[in-house]
Order: sequence, then C-alpha cells, then structure tokens
Amino acid sequence: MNQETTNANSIGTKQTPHLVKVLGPAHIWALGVGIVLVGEFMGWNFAVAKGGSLGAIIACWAIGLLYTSLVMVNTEIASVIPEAGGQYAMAKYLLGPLAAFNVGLMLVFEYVMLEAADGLVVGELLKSLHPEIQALPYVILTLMFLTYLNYRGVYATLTFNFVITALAYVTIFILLFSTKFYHPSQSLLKLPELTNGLPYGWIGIIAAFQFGTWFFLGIEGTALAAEECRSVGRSLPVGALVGMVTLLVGATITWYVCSGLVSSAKLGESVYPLFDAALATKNPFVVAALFTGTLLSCMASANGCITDSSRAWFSMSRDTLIPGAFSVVHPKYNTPYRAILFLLPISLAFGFTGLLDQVITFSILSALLVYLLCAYMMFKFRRMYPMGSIRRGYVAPWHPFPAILLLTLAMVTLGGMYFGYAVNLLSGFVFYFLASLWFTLHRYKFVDYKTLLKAGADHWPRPEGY
Amino acid sequence: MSIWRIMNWSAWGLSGILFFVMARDFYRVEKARRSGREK
Repeated sequence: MNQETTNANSIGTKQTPHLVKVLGPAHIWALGVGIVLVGEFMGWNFAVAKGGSLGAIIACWAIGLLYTSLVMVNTEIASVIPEAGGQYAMAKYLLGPLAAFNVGLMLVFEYVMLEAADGLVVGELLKSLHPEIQALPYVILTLMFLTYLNYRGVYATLTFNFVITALAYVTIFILLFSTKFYHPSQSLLKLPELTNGLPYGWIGIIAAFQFGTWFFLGIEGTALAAEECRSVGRSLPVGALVGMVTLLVGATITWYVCSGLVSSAKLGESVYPLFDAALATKNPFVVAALFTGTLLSCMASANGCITDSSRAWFSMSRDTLIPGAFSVVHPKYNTPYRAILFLLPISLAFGFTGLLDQVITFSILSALLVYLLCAYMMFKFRRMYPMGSIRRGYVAPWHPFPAILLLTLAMVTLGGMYFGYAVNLLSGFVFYFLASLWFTLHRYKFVDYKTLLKAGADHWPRPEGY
Repeated sequence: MSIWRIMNWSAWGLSGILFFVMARDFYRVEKARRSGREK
C-alpha cells in the first residue's frame, strides 16, 4: 500500500481529526441559496436578449422544474450517503472511480470558477462607486476573508452566509414594495409597455434556458455538506427544498420587477439588472439597498463556493482519486484546510483572466454534465437499492418522473448552449476527456477500492444484482 | 491622499494580514504534524 493510501486510510479513525457535525437546516439553506442568489442580481437577464421577456420567465420556470427534480433526486441519494462530496460521493458508489473522478472535477470547477466570477464582480461593483477605487485589492480581500472564514470553521462560515444571504434576499422585497405594485393607479411597473413577449418563438426559449440556470445554479451544492449535518435526514431535505422554494419566489419577483421597470432592450444587456431596476425607481434608499444586496449576494456565493469546492476536493483526496495530501483535516478547526488553501490561488488565477463570460460558461457546462449523471444515478440507485431495502432519510416522490424531467431539461439546456457557445462546449468536453485519460493512465493504479467504498460498505447491505 | 486611496491601501493591508494569519497557522499545523505532536 503506498503512502497516499495509508494517509487516506487513516482519515476518519478516532485518532485523526474529522469533519464535525454541526450544521442544521438553516445552514444548508444558507449554503444552497447563498451560492445561487447572485444569479438573481445578475446574469439571468441575458435570457431576455435570447428569448424575449416571456421567453425569460418560461425559461425561469422550466429550469426551476429541472432544479426541483435535481434537488429531489440529490436529496434522496444524499440522505443515505452522509459523506462530504455530494454528487461526487454518489457517483463513486453508483458509477465507479472514473465517473466519480469526473464528477468531482466538474464540481470543483463549477464552484471555483463561480467563486472567481463573484470576486471579480465585488471588485467591479466597488470600483463603480468612485474612479479612484481599484477593483483588485477588493477582489483579493473578499476571497482572502472568505477563505479565512472557511479555514476557521464551517459553522461560523455558514452562519455568516445565512445572515448575508437573508439580507440580500430582503433587498429584492424592498425593491418590490417600493414599486407599489399592489396599487394599480400608483404602481411604477409598466409591464405592457416595457416587455417584448416572445420575439424569437420557441427556439428563443431554448436559447434562453442556459441563462435561466442562473436563477438556480449551485443549489445542488447543499448535498456537499451532508457529512457535516447534525441530522442528514432532516437538515438536507428541509434546507434544500425550502431553498428551492425561496429561489422560485425570488426568481419570479426578480423577473416581474425588472421587466416592469426596465425596457426589454436595456434589460437584455444590463450587467446588474436588479440594481438598474432600483435606479429606475429614483428612490435613493432602494438604490442603496440593492447595491448592498448585490454586494452581499456575491460574497454569499463566493463563500458557499469555497465551502463546496473544498469538500469535493477533500473527498476525492480521501478516496485516493487524487493525491492524499488534501485529505487532511485541521486539528483545531476541523476543516479541510489544505483543500481550502490549495483552491484559493486557482480561483484567483481564473479571476485574473478577466474572461467572466467564459469562466461562467465553463461553470454552467460542468454543472449540466453533473446533472445528466445525477439523473442516470437515480435510476441506478433505485435499481441497486429498491424501496424498503435501505433506510432513506428522504424519498423522492413520483419516481421516475423527476429523473426523466431532469435528464430531458438538462439535455435541452445543453442544446441551447450549443447555439451560442459551441466552441466552449467542445473545449469543455475535450478538457474532461483529457482529464479522464490522465486518470486512467496515471492515477487509476493508486485507487484503493477498500478505502473508496469503505463508508458505504460499512453501512449498507450488498446491492441487488452485485 | 484621498479617502478612496486610503481604502484601497487598507484593503491591500487587510488582505496581507489575513494571508499572514493563515500562513502562520498553516505553518504551525504542518510543523506539528511532521514532528508527530498532532493529537
């Protein structure tokens, strides 16, 4: 047995520090919604340019169905796999080492790239306050501060995330009520005049799908903190499903307010749509609130991304799929501190490229590939462990419809991406193919199956057909 | 020097302090791990 395997084997024993179970449903909500909420403050509005105002809201709800299905599928499987790594941990039991390596890598890139984009936006936002303000020191300070929080402990990190996510969410309601939408004669919203319906028909809706994902991208990250939940069977379903409802309500209000305050032509090109909508109210308090909300949502997203990417990297290392050096937990703070610190410069490097749209597109592609595999894993999970054969913390209703819906909508979204980002799509596939080649040729020999499947083998009966 | 420039330098300074604090803790933990004093 090589040194890496020995190192990884020792994790989880009584002598070794391990991840602590301190998180409740509120923390899981904060992790999921915190990562996503930034997508309501920016990005989603490009769906208006692709599919028109009506296309954008149809894409929002259709993608909402995709994510509701994903959360149901993920929560059922994650509730019996209480390990850090989320979809990665599911893949290692249900699909094998190569698929698990790819899913882990996709998760890391999804979150590291999102973190880089969030940091960049914080810098750009502050820079917009005054010409003498530089973006770079604030990008670095934001990522340093959030990395430090993550380094010191997951409880404080996600409690902080809960507060800033809730504050950012409240600002959307401040904007909504400032429009006096409830009073038809005084309402600032002018939906009939400012919206443009469905200018490109159904094809426009499909093209808008990829930007509809901004409303929800990252909610699946709730499963990555399963190992740190006090009660996985309660915290994960409650946190994730309440988070999904929070986002659906927030997304619909965001579309409604922005479409009623900003013309569809301007909305389709806006960098900060909710902030532009706030400017349209001409109310200084609302403008200040939405500026703060945008800033806090970026910080919450980056914070959650650091938590999730480090858990995925840590789990891959602990399972011997990548070098074992990252499988170490801090003796005092019980955090995967090496994984947290290792991913910081990678995120900074992506941030410094300045290619925000490319970084985000790669992040979305990585996420969609994970969703496709999640749908397949649900079928396999139900076949390997039929109902009654294993104790589930949560049972996804109406199986197999959520998995079929997830598979179909993820494929349609990938198809929509092809229209605008064919080269990016191809590059992404080539990247993961090369990574798989490296894993097969150079890393497979280090994989220790006993370590990889130990936690599951200790808890579950032998699956049917194996 | 304007307030904005002072804020810029403060951000650099705070980033440096956070980096130093994390680097110091990381060094201590790694040193303890290597010398076998880790609990």
